[in-house]
Amino acid sequence: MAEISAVSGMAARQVRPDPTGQIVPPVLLVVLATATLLPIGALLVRAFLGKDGAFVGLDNFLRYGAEPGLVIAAWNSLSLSMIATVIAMALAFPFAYALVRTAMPGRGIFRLIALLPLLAPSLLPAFGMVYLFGNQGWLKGWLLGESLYGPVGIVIASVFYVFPHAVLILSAGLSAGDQRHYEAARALRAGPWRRFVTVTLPSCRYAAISAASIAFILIFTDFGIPSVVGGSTNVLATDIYKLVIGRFDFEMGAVVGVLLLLPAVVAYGIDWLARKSQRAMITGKSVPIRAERLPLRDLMLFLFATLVAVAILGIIGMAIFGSLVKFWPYNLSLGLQNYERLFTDADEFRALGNSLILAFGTALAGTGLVALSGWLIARKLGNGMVRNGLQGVAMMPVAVPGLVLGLGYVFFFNNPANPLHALQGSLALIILCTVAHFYTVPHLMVVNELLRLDREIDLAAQALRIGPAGTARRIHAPVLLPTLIDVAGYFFVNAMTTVSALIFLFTAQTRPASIAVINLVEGSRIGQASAFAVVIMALSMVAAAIQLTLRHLVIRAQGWRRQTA
Amino acid sequence: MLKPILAATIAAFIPFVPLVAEAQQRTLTVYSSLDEDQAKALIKGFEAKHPQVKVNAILGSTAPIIARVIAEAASPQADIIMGNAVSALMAADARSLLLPYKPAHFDKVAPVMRDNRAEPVWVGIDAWASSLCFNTVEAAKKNIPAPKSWADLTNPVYKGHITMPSPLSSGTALLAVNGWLTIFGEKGGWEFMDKMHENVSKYGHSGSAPCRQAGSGETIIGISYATPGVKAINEGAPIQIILPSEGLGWEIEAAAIVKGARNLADAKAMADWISSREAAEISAKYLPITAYDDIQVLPKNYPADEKSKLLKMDFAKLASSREAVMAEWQKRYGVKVPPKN
Repeated sequence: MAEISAVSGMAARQVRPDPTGQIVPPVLLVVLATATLLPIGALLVRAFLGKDGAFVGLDNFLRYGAEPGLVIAAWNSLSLSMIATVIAMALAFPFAYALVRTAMPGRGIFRLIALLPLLAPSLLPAFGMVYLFGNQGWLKGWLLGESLYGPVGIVIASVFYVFPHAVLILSAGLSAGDQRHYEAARALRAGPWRRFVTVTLPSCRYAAISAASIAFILIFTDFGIPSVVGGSTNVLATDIYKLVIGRFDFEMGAVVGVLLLLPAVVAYGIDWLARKSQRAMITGKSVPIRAERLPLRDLMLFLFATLVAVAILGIIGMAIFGSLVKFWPYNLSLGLQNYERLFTDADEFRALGNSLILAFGTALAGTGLVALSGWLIARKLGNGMVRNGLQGVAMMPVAVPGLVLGLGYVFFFNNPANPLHALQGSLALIILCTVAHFYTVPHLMVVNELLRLDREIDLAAQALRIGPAGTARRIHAPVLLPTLIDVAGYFFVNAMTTVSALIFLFTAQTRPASIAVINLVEGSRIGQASAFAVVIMALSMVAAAIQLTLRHLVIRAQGWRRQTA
Repeated sequence: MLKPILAATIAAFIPFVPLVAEAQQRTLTVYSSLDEDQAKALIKGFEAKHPQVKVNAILGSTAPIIARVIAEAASPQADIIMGNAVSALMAADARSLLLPYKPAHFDKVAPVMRDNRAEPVWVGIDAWASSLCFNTVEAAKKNIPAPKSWADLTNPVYKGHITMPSPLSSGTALLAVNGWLTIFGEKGGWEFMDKMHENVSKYGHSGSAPCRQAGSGETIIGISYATPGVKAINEGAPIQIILPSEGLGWEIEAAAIVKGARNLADAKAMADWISSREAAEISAKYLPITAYDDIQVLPKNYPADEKSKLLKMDFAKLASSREAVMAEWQKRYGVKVPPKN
């Protein structure tokens, strides 16, 4: 009861007790904790245990602190993540703004291009960059004598990697707003620039903070980029790999895992503060934003977006070109020989099928869970403690390197004492792990979308004696639908390319295509690996095209989004 | 309050149940780090002899496969490891994760290629050795001579042109380092690495990558092993595989049964098959050194004198010094700031 009155703020008019706020949040918390917190905890707790399993306090941390090179690795991690985040935000903000707030031509195409880095297995951009800027690269001179392999490579590849994430979060934040604020500003004779600074910027502050923290954390914990283009530049994320895989030292690996969580804790604090100060941007009287036509601004942004698009297409295009040549860089005659194996080898073909099942399963399960958790958080349903727990559990995965998550899954689920032990080795477990791995960004997308709705709408629903579930069905679900389509697409494409969390979980029957690509690289079949990665990207592009079309159709069908006055 | 929560939680996992229930047939789970084609050929040979067994193979690099076996210790998923570096197998053995077993043809296997302890844990399949991949086209452009020995790599002419994997994440690097420590001695070996370190542009993670990088001209010299170089040559890379004159560090890839294997009977049958001459003849198509000394087949473009250049190595000592070598390496080169080319 206390929860419901907290929701309504008017204790006098009680609706009949609704089970939604009482049962759903704790159940969801248990499910999500099983998918994230408990497995991650099962590994990270080893940071405080000796090899024999006895509690050793901070001994492992002291042992790690004494490792030579730690300070340099930590400094590299911090400074390079910071630089890459700033560059990525500087590119993503105007790009997202151009996508949703202007009448710039080709917005749909630009949106698809911005998503490309998300659709390509990380191997492709890595190859693309090597072909462009490596020692035999066509544009090697652009690096002014610097080697790609090192800080330069890490920063370029990291910006490329997080750009779509930042654009997604920012464009979600920017697409909402209240046209009346702009009318008012105009009436007060505020020029375009003043309107931008005083109305637009404050309204997307929360999205900007989310985007920057997510970008920073993604870069900070990523292992793939420094391992391919990092040269000998050590970062904390590669330390985990060396400790766990090279030295089988899970305890020290867990120590690094704990250290990598620290920036996420800071980000969680910032996010919590930002959420507290966030005011509703859409009220019952809100008028949807209409993109303004400012020819000069639109032209400038069009040129900027074209530049970014050319850079993205250039890197991906080079990788595709590389998959078509006989032998880079010495025999550039074109042919499809690298693609033959995919359609003649039964194992590789099955891997593609597995990936599609994994991607569909992840999109379905993930979207359902995210819709629920985002709704509960944004609409403040249920006990406050449970809600904070939910938010924490939802924010955690982004800060956990895939390797840590995957290992945690083995320790947690591959334990005969665990009632869910039967899941070990199943595709279901891989789906659960992938949902958990990519949970944070979709969760934030849903929360951001719902936070913009005015509380008045809830109050009106309460006055009409419609419970939270009814409000959700009649108001929140339709508002959220386009975002949920994006969320499903996000889960789908990430599931198509994910590698690091699955290297300990896949079996002969469930091996997905992304792992097959890695196996091909390990077997020195680089051409075939690139070709397979291109096929994965093509499938993801189909999914993304379906996503964008669906989104467009839904928005068109929802008449209330158009201004009626 | 608690009951409905519990019930709903269980209900939430129900959709996953049908995905779990797979047909329970007689299956054998094999983890392998052998070359993919070689592993598949060996499995095909086994299945032909045991048609009632379906082999499920999980392939991966040396270290991740062993890390997975160690992580799964609470409830082993693999029945047998069919091909992994002996030094890595020893790390699993030290945690008592492997089951001693003497396969049927154990006594016919070359003595150096088998575990000669009273209760043998592993039986060798093949062996691989350190080598250099040298890009002749890029070297000619820069007027750089081909190295003939390991000692040549300390020549300043190679500055910025050598890549090698880090022994902290690659078994291939570890066998190169162990080779140097064997050739130059403990002190001389580290002095050699100190000097060569000045010329190294990159310490990577993958053992085969340096040969691939040499193949695509990203580096001129890659310290790696022969197989990825052979594949690159077959695809048209302008590289030469150089086996340095002092001799080569090498290592055995072996099979071992996992303790707690769910299908122990078939795991033993697999170990028996692996130790057979017939299986060695299959492996010989991929690597020249196998468990049977007298099988002499040379894969296309594979360097002919690898076998004669193998160093005499004390594998027991190397296995026990694995941690110490890694720690010393990290202390000396783990903090490297790459030199400007």
